[in-house]
Amino acid sequence: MSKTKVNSRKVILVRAYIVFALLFVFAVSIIITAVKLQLGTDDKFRKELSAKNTRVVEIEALRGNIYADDGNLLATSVPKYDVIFDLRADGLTTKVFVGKIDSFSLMMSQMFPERNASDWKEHLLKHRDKRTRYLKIAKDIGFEQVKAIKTWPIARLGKFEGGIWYEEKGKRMYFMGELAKRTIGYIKDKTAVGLEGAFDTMLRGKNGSQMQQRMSGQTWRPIQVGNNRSAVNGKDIVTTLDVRIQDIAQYALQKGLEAESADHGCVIVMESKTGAIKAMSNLKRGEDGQYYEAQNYAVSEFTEPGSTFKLLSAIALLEDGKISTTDTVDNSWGKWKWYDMKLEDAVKPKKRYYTLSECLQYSSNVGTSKFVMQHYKKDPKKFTQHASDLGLHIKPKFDIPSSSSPSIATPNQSGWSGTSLPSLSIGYSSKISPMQTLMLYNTIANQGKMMQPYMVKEIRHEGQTLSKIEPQVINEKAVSPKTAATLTQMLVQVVDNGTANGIKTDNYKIAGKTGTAWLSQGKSGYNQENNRQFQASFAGFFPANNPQYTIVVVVNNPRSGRYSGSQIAAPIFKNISDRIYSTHIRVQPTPQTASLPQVPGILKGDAAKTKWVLNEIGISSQMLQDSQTKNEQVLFPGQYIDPSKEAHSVKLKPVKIKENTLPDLSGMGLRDALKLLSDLGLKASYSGYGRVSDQAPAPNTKIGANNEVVLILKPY
Amino acid sequence: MNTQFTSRFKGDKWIWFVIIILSLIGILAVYSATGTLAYSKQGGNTEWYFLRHTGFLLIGLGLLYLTHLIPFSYYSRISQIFLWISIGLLILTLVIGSEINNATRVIPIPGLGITFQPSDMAKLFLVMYISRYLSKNQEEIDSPKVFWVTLVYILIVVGLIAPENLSTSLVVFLTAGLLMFIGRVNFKYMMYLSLSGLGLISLLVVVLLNINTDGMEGNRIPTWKKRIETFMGKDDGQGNYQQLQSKIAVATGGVFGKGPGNSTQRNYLPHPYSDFIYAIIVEEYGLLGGLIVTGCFLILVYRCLKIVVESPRAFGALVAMGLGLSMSLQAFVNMGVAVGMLPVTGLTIPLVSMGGTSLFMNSIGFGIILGISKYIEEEKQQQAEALHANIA
Repeated sequence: MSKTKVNSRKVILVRAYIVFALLFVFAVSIIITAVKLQLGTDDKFRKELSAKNTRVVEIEALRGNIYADDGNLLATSVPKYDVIFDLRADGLTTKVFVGKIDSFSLMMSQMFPERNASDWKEHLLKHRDKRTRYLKIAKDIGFEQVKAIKTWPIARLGKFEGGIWYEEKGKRMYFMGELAKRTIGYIKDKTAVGLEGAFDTMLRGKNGSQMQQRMSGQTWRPIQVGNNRSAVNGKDIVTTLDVRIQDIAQYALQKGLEAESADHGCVIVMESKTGAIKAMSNLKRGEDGQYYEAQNYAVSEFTEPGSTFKLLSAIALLEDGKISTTDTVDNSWGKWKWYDMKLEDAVKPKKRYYTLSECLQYSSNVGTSKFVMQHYKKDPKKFTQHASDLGLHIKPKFDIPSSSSPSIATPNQSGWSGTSLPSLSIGYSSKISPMQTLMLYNTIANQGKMMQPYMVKEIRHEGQTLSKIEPQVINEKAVSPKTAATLTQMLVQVVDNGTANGIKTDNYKIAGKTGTAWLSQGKSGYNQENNRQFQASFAGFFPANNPQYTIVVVVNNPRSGRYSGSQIAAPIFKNISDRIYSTHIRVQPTPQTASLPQVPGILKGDAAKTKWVLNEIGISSQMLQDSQTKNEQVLFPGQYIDPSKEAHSVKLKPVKIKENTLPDLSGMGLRDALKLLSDLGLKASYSGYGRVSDQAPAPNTKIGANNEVVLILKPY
Repeated sequence: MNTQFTSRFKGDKWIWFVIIILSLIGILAVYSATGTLAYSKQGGNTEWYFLRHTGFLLIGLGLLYLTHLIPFSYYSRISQIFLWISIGLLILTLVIGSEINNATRVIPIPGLGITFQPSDMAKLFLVMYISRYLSKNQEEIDSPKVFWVTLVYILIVVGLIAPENLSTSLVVFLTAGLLMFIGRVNFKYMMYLSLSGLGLISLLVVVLLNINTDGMEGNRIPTWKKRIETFMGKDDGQGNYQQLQSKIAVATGGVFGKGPGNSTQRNYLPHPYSDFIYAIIVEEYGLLGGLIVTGCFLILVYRCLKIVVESPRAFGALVAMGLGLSMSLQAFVNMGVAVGMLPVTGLTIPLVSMGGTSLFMNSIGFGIILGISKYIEEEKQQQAEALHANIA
């Protein structure tokens, strides 16, 4: 070998060794780094690691349902879905995205017409450019729609390849609209009112928690660790509310308030024997002149009741045996001055001496207060004791709590004066709520037995009854039966021949009392000549011979020029009592006594549920094939039925639901109709109760951008 | 090792040993690491990838065996034409290649369901061609012409790989540069080259960190930018997910590991069977496992160094060293990523990571190295026999 060659070999070798040495250093530093990672991984690093890779996810408990007394749903939580598009999903290639975006946008525009196909495309392209990884493309859709979307281009590729996934959440749905809205309550900005608020802890259930570990990027998988808790769904509450009575009461109140342009008002309907609240309506005039359920006046507005309170005076006088029904009092022709207090009767007396019955009948302020003064002037405490005995001085216990409290003037209070007793006797100098007035009148209706008002009669959890709330007696003998019977007669007189004779009816006897109170306006008092405000009320029960329902009506600050309880509140009472009488009292359904199962009347609705019910009562059913649908695309085949023609042979005919065409909803229950419309992706509004009688747009109308459907419901 | 083996499997025993060890570890690690993939792609059939990988490996080892039988001088002749074919295929890839991880690196082979990665092939033949060119020009090795010609070839190949696979192109560039260095290219030029190389890389990093990649989603630039930013400590919005998961795997492995099949990080790491296989190996087999794999590649380079020492011809020495370097560098970069020393790349560990054609190409590379060592052994034997004959 030549010298240069030997030299060049040497150079190659030396350089190769240098390279090897570099590589060796690289390899060693890899191992050192690995060792450092193992040694240097202290708890802090470990924690940091695990914090980034695990998370605790709250599993939302499904809120419990609220039912009416007949089991109708008032409020429920249904699973709803939001559709999320991860436009940069790992598997979503440009080829797929660009290739399918047109057809996907077209499908989107058909289901969500707020954008047309090209707008949807533009929208999605824009967000793909922006690398949006969380784009909500639809909100609050039902499961049927999710199922449909899963068949679309892109979406059918799944979460990882297509980027489209679904977020489930419970959405609260109310089925009664404005009906008893405030009573049932709602949740707004995390505060719940009405029954929703009062029973919140029960309805809410308990959220679960689940530990999740990061799989890759934004993908998490649940892991099993000890402290995972599964969600406990909320309990259901069954109320005593009767949807039909509620509707009747609310409608009557609304009409009454509208006629008087009153500021607000409320109605409570109680089942006399049990104390169960069948309806509770509160309406306030909005700025647009319409009435809305806003505050629960029935429970929480404490005002001077006025003449309806004269019942207490009558109870005291009779119970203490101070007077008999034939004793009379000098009414001074309806005008009396006591110290600085001028008393005046609204109805000018036709005679000088009134019995107690006549005092009530004509709502005589002078007569009533003179009776009370004669017998309690020396011992006013004995009089106020009656108010306490009847529990009027304390806030009544009720399912929906109130924040304020009543006040009853008593002699040991600092404000007590010589005019306090006569003032109290006719319903001033004290503040009670409509609910308390109702309880007082119901005690008379119930032969002296004071009932605890209640609105929740059952608590259920996942179909099981947890507890039943039975009617509760507050005081078995709050008033003696004799006094109650006497007062019932007197209250009938009020309606038959007295201030409320405008609502007298031959069909049944009403016992009740009007009330017209000046509203105290804070410091300025009552007597603002040009701006007097009144509260008109009526409390009573019917049929007087066997009271079924006790009702209180309070109308606050009417602005029509009329103001008395007899003119304003009594007609509302009558509107309600008439309808309740015709639907709930007069018509007593006789139970069927058939041994073989009777085919029930079947109305249009959910096919699966209908079949289940028929099956439960031992009737088999079969679905008819619809010959006309062969050439048309039918959505939801066989899910809804129209049995109107075939009801008795128990063959169920499917409702034809064509794409982009509004089906005939007539005869459907509200729930079925709403579900069907929701399945079709349509919004609905409705009024009335019962079954769908009219719909706009008309059946078979093409539905496009104008996707709001109005339903008119009527009882069937 | 018995004579049966030595008679059939000629060449450096240590390198054979390295091949066997790496293959076995690869099979175990791939089997463990493909669990998630098996669930998402093969309906939970966990054997599918195991069998496929083992099958590919056996084919690869077959190729390796065949290659090592071929006299290595033969490669000198074919290297030029194959380099041009590789360059053609690289251009083809850029034009028609299909997307894998948003990177166009491969040409699908119709009917076989596998893809062909021309960069693996180009790497192999670039090493051979440079070795050939340098060994042929050893007499005038100091001339600028040799330097520039070599550099042009390197830059053509690297430039074609870079747009879609920056990390591979950098490893190829580094390998080729080291090969030039070993091949006695003028030290002054090499200094200039390494300085300008470093300058270019720094420039690339600075540019990547400062450009706005909006509207560049058709290419790899946003990915590069993101990976560098992530490496520099910027949260990528997923908690620097990949590197973090990899570090967890390494950190929790301990000295002896969690045991075969007990990796938990395989569920969280993307491509645990290829890009992050070293993390899985350390997690399951501990530092010991990691040390063995790293050691295997050091042994490989050391044995190649031995070949350099013993090789009578510069071509053989340079090819062996170049191939050994190329595979080890690639493996070390993969390991460096796994332990968090380097930003995330898509580089695999030769023979260990799952992969189709890259496995074959690496097998062929090993085969060539063994072929060279076989030739050297035979040469030594002949010399010894000649010596014997002379003495006798």
